[in-house]
Amino acid sequence: MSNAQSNTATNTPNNAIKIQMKNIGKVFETEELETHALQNIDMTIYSGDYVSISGPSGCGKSTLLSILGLLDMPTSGEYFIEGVNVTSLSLDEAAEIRNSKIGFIFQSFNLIDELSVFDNVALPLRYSSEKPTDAQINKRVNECLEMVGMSHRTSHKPNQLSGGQQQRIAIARALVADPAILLVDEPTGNLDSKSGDMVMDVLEELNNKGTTICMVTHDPRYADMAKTQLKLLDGAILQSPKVAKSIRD
Amino acid sequence: MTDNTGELKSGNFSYPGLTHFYEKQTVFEQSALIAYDTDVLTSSPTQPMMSTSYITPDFFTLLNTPMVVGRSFEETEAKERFNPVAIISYDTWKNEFNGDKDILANKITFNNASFRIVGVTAQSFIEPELHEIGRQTQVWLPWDYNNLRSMYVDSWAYVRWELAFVGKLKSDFSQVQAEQSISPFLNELWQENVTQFDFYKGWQVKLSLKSFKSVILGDNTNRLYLLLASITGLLVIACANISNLFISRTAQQQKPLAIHAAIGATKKQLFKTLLVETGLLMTLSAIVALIVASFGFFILQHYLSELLPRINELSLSVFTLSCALLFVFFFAILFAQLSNRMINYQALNHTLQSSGKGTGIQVSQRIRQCLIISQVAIATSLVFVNISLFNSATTVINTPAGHKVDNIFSMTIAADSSLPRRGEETISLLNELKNSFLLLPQVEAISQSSSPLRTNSSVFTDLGTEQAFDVEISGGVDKDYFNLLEQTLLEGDYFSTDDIQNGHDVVVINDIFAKKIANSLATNGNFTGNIAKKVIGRKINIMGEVEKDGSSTERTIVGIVKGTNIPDVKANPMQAYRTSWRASNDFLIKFKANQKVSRELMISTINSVSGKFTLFHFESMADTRKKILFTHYTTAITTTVLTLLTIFLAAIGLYGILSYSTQSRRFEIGTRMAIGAKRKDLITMILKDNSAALMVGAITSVIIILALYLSFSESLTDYVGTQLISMFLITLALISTISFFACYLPLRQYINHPAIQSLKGSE
Repeated sequence: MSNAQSNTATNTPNNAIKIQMKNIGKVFETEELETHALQNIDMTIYSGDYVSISGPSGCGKSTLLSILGLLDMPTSGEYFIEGVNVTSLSLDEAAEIRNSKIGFIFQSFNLIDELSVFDNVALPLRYSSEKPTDAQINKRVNECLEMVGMSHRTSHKPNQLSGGQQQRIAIARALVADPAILLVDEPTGNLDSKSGDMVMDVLEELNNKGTTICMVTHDPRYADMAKTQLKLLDGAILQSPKVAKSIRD
Repeated sequence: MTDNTGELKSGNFSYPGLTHFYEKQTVFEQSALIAYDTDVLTSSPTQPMMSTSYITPDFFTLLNTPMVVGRSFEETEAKERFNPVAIISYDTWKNEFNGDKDILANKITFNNASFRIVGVTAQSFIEPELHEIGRQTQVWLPWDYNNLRSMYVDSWAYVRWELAFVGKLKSDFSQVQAEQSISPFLNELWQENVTQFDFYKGWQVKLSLKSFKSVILGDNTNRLYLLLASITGLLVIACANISNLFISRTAQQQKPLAIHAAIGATKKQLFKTLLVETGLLMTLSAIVALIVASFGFFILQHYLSELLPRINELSLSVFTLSCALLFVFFFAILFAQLSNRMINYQALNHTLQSSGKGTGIQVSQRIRQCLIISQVAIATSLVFVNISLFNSATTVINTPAGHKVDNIFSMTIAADSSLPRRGEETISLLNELKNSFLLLPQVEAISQSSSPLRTNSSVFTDLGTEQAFDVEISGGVDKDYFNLLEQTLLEGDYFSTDDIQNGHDVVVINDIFAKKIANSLATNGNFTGNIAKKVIGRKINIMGEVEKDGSSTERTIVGIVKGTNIPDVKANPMQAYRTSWRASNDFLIKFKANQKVSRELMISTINSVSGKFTLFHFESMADTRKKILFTHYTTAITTTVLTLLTIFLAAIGLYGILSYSTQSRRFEIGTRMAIGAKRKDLITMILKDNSAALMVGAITSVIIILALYLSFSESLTDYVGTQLISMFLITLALISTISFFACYLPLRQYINHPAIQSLKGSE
């Protein structure tokens, strides 16, 4: 049975809940216009889940992912990560939660060109409040690069790598701080189909090993790979057939 | 005039030397004599002081002087013709005579002599400032009436700085040839006439001709070059800043440019669009600049006319307007071209395809680093130089005088030529005048002494050791001088009534001079005992002071006073005071507090004693001090303005570059925020990333400053000292603060908002 829910409640134990959103709304205001990007989003993601969010352009996917990743704040509702209310954190508190609980994988990889592969992957640990030693950083970075099959490219610069390789480095960077959840934004959007497949294989493998993943994609083929599919339309979640199926099971 | 060691002692003429030269010379096709002076216009009720020049007629012919009314001097007004006529300047005509159309019917009186006005110079005539910067003659009078004539007509031993000779060389003589042909004749003539003076033994007289240009510009060339260097520095900063702003603007305009390109605009057409924009901006800037320049001219002409040559000639003219127009064209094309070169058609295409996401136009990191380095280097150098000059000027301004200044006025009385200069009648009338002033209820004390602010440098020789000292000597003081000024006596005595009455050869010196004399007597050069015991009673000679028999005058040191500070004289000078003559026409008057003092009151008191006296000079010491310190005030103001302008420009420039640099790293900043970077981490990162360029800029500024010092070491000697280290540290702190804010402010828009704002458009 899948652990993700939308607009439904289950009796899944609290200690397994990674993400919980209650009645989340997001309104963008300009002087003349008020746009309701998200409305009444209720969502729970459990440990080990693999959730895909899809929908047409402008439906609110990216906004939802931004709020999930604390890159943006909701206008209304409540948001919990591992039971901690993160609805109204200061910018620095949000940064700390992002650093320790959330791993990001962006469509355009967002690697820093001036830094080597190793330094890119090590970056979240450098910002960590736990201040790991160089030896600890070294060990952890190598583990993550090993996981994504890129340990042989530590000293390369991102622009010396292919798109698929860059995305795998981005995945390693997202994993390095051992986050509660990986938030993935169109991971194959800038890749050819072969590289895209390889990246999706890496994500599936990570999920199989217990990593919780929430992915935004418009590609139905990749959305199908998720255990739970959420569909957004006009800022609201539609019932997913796969969720319905899992509830019936 | 050089002494027996070959050292230049004077660059002036003696009166008879000049007139002989004028009459005998054969190398000039036209020549004129000038005696510059200042006289009281007694025919005017307000008796104003006027700048006068006593000249021979060729002066106006040489300068081809246009006249607006009447004529210039003619042969009938030449030397030894004694024809009492006058020519006034255009400003004098307008200001003193309200532009009276019947001006030629007027007469003016100076020194009891009446002169008929025969001409007015045209407004367009600008007299070459040969005597001193900013001095424009108000009235020209025939040479025969000059005030030096009565005293110096046969004085070969006295040179006078008011005397000048101007001439146009014959075409077959070069400057060197003329000098070589006249010098032996002049020297021989002078030697013949000073044989009775032992003092001048071994001295030589040599003619040195100077072009008008070199006399007018004087030693201002270095000052002007320094000013030009500052302005060039500012211009470089301004150009770098404007270039940077245009680069940023082109980057911002990427999307509209892309649309223009997509609908078929060629690069040339885009250039034309940019040129129109830059042309309009430059025209507007030029209009503002011309308004500011006009205001600047007004300020310069009002406050710096005595400091910089030919400043009164500054104005907006066809030439300056043409230059402004030329600059508008040049900068419009330069900046349009700069922006145009940044347009990358491939990137524009990409911009449209990605709906404006991403950065198609980029300034390379190397250019950004170069801009930061140049900004910091130039700004640090300019700010350092200006702060140092400001510090030097304010130190002089704020140095206490060391004597009383409030309510004290200096006054000089001019005596009629019928009064013998040192005669008993003059002395008696001056005593009567002094007593009349003391009877005024406003007056507290009076002293027949020169102003403490008027001193001359002279060489004193200790007659016991033959040791020479460079000393600032006053113009002559009486027994009441030190009490009136409240200047402390440390040892010995002030001058006595007997010293003044009988003209004893005594001298009072200051503590610094006394210490120097005592040190010169100590074997190790550092005297530690009772200085007064060692110094008082010693005999010294003031250079050039000789007895009638030609022997050196011996003056005895009778007292030691606490030293004072004289503006524009190096700090803590050695000072000496000699007795004033009984016929001295210089007075110091101390008024009671809160008394109304006027020039009219002084004139009426003088007239009540004798009609043979006129009030020549009357000024409060506070005002005199302000005038002397004027250069320092202007330096302080100019450096403050330049510092603020430099800081302002540098701040804009650094902000522009660092802002652009930070904007181009927006996605990187967003990414770092997304993976957990806190605000502090990002501020540290930006500071760290820019610190190398800032450091290189600071080091470059040190090199620039050292190069400046090595190039102008002679002019900068007075400014160099350990205080420069603290000045440099202050400058660095200032530039660092600006750099910090220039780094922080552009970053604020990202780090103080949710990370998603920085990541927008990064897909």
